[in-house]
Amino acid sequence: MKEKARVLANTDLLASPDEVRQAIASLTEAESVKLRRLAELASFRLRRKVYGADPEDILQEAMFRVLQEKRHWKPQKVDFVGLLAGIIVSIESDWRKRGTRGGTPVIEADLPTTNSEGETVPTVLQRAADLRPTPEQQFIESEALTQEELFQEIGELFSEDPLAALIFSEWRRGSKGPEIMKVLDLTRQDYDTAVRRMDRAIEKRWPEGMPYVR
Amino acid sequence: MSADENRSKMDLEALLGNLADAVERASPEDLLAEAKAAGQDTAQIASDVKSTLLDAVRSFEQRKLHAARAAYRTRSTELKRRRIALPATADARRRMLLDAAGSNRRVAQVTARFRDLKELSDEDVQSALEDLMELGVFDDAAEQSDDGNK
Repeated sequence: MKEKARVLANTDLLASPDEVRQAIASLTEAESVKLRRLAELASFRLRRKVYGADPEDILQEAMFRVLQEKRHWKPQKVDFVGLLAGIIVSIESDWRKRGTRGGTPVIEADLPTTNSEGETVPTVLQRAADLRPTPEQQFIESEALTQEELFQEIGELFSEDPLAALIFSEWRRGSKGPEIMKVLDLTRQDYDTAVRRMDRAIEKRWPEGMPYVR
Repeated sequence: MSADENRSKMDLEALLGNLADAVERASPEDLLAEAKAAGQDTAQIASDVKSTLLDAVRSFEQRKLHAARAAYRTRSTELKRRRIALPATADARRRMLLDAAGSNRRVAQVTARFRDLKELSDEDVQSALEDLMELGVFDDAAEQSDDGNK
């Protein structure tokens, strides 16, 4: 098995771009897949509040926060993947708050920059015009389901997975994970594995993210 | 069962939270195996993730570099603008220094280390004027000169 992404050696000094590069280079395939999935899930959830928050934006923003010291890295306690996972949660929370307030999240990666001539160049956001819904997004919204309709569709995805169907049904009744595990006599591992099957089924059904809910 | 009883007590946020919690708790190896079982090209995903992260590092460094270059360019332009304002001849530059020393207390303090300004070499006069310009002593005069040129 490949060595896991290394932690930075120095606890007190800032991570230099070179050290961060080394940490990125030493990410295993499995760790990279996990980071991608976490960014995708955050993007799915944010998409309902904020337009233009793709998984790549979230990963880039996470990197900027590491380099700009917005998050302190304590390598003895948190490895690189753990650090990024925590930052992704934090980014989602920040952008969600701004989205809820009607503001546009300021993505560090999209702050004004200059080219080699010192001229200001358009940011990704500017190039994309703005974060207002495109006609396509407006169409998607007009096609939005009610929450009940969406849950109905999701439930149908588990017609051949009795455990997933049972867990989903319990969630809809308001039960929480620990309660469900106790009632169904499941280990945490059993429960989480079933939930991730549900996650995969949902992702497969809506690869671009779940439909909007009215 | 009534419509109300059928209504879900879970909202969409809670559903997404439940799904994300299970992914967050999962080991990377489990997620890798599941992604492969789902037919995903995990090698490509890993490569894309690394590229995205490395691009962000590069972009961060470039932004810092460009900001430093822009600051340097601004300062160079400003210094050049001030130097341009120096009189063309050595005599005129010496007169400028003497006038400034006579009328400006700050200049007088700076030039007090010289026993006799009239004895300074042309190079020293030039150098003294440039130092004073960098200190902003002649900024008002330069601005007036710029205004007059407009």
